[in-house]
Amino acid sequence: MSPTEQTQMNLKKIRNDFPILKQTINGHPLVYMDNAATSQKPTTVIESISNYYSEYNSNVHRGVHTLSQRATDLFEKSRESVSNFISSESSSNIIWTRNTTESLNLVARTWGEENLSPGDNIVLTSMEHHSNLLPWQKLAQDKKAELRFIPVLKDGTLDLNQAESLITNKTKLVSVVHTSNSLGTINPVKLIGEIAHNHDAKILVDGAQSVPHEPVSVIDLDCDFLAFSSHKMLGPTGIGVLYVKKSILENMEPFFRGGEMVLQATLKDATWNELPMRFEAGTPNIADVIGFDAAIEYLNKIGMHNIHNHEKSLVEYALKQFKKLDNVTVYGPEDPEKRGGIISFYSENLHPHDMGTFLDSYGIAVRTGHHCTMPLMQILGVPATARASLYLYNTTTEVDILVETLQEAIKYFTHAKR
Amino acid sequence: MPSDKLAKLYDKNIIEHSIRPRNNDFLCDKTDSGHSINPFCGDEVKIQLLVKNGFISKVGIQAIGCKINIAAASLMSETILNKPIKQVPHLEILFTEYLNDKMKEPEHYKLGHLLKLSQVRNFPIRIKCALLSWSALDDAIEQNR
Repeated sequence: MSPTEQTQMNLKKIRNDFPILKQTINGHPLVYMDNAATSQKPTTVIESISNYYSEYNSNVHRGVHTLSQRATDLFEKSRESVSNFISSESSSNIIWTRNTTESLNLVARTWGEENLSPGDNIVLTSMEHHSNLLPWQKLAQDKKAELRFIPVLKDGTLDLNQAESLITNKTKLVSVVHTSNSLGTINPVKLIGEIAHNHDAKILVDGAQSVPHEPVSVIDLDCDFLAFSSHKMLGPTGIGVLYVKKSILENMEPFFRGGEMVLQATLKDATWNELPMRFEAGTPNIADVIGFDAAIEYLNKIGMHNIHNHEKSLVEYALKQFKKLDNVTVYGPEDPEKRGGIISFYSENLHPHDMGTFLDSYGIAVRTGHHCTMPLMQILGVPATARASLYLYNTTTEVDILVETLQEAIKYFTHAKR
Repeated sequence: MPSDKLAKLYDKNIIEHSIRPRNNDFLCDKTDSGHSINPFCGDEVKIQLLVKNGFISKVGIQAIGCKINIAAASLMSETILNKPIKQVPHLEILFTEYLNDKMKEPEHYKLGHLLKLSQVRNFPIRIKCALLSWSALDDAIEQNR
């Protein structure tokens, strides 16, 4: 049996774990390539949520009764799993939020509020998702601080020479996307973090598109903050993660105030609960935290190195196939080592929306639009792109279907032109 | 082969209007102008009107983006030309109801050229594309007030 056959066999088993993939869309088998928007869920995740509601639904960290104890144990077990997944020194550094966006806003509105002064600067890149741009725009306006941007080079990588000069002793934070949701570029965040630390600045890594697809260790990256979401890594929607280095987290003020996060309260004043509860006011999203644990377990079972390698070979294959298409520009680095499983492309004379509708009529799900990176689209000089984003369950056969259907779409609309 | 449903969406009328949009030239002697952007995809429509004695006597419309947006802008410009500007809001309501399958049958005849966009009703996600030019028109009328 060749290695390819071996992979095919495993893929068959993996695909069988995802009930949604068994359906047809518009009479064609579903080809789901919108994983950068959200990933599909394996049966174990779906069942774990259902089990919570049918067997031990109760609030956490409150009751002394059996159900509450069970819910609390599994809720905290999930935090342990996430902590181990990113090699965090402790699970008390893991804060549950709703999504990556909330994690980033939390840092801006707590740590940012306290640590920025007029004249300071925050360094971002020109390829940031709006969620890692708008919170900093607001903070910079409020604090009379400056925003600086590491430019994107023609090949979709960052201009690191500029990073060296943009990050100065006035820089308080460097906040960088690990894997670009629009270009697929994997940025050298460890290196950028070293430059930041040399200037006593903190480094925040937006891991929304990297943590689901490759092994990510906060120890190895030496990052101060890491933000990501459950729903892009086989888990439920409504759960995000913020990792913060302990020495920083201990000195951060709470984001929301209310139940759970308080230690002692009087009518005039209050003191805060221990970490990480200090940042989790109110009843949390218990069911989805527990569902997230099942997702982490699934990813660990397959192995993050295997997932990363599978996607790397799939994207390498896809890039070769895309070369067959006339007048189609693929964005991002050509070197598969420098990119994740995201392929953004633009066809002259065929708008991404028309292409998206055409592909959907063949059961192929891709994203079309600006992918919440409007400034980057302006740099690329396109209004929008179509984006195929791959994950562990995608196959080379599906890549073939995508490319053949794209070829047909181009032919169809070119013919229509006559 | 593309499905029937798809072929009907991109029928010869839509393709033709998307390739040769009507009233596409920028109108210099305008009395009103408007602009709209679909933040979802970045598509854009610019419109200029010459309103004389309450009638739209000239239209200039420039749509950038997908075929549905460009064709819808072209068809809208044909529909509103020489109509009283006061009729525009009602026409927009009717057209929006029509696309969302919420229109009463007897009023179809009022839509004229716009009925060529009937197949968009089978692609609810593309209704926004067909209505972008109307937002630009709203903007122009709003500024006229």
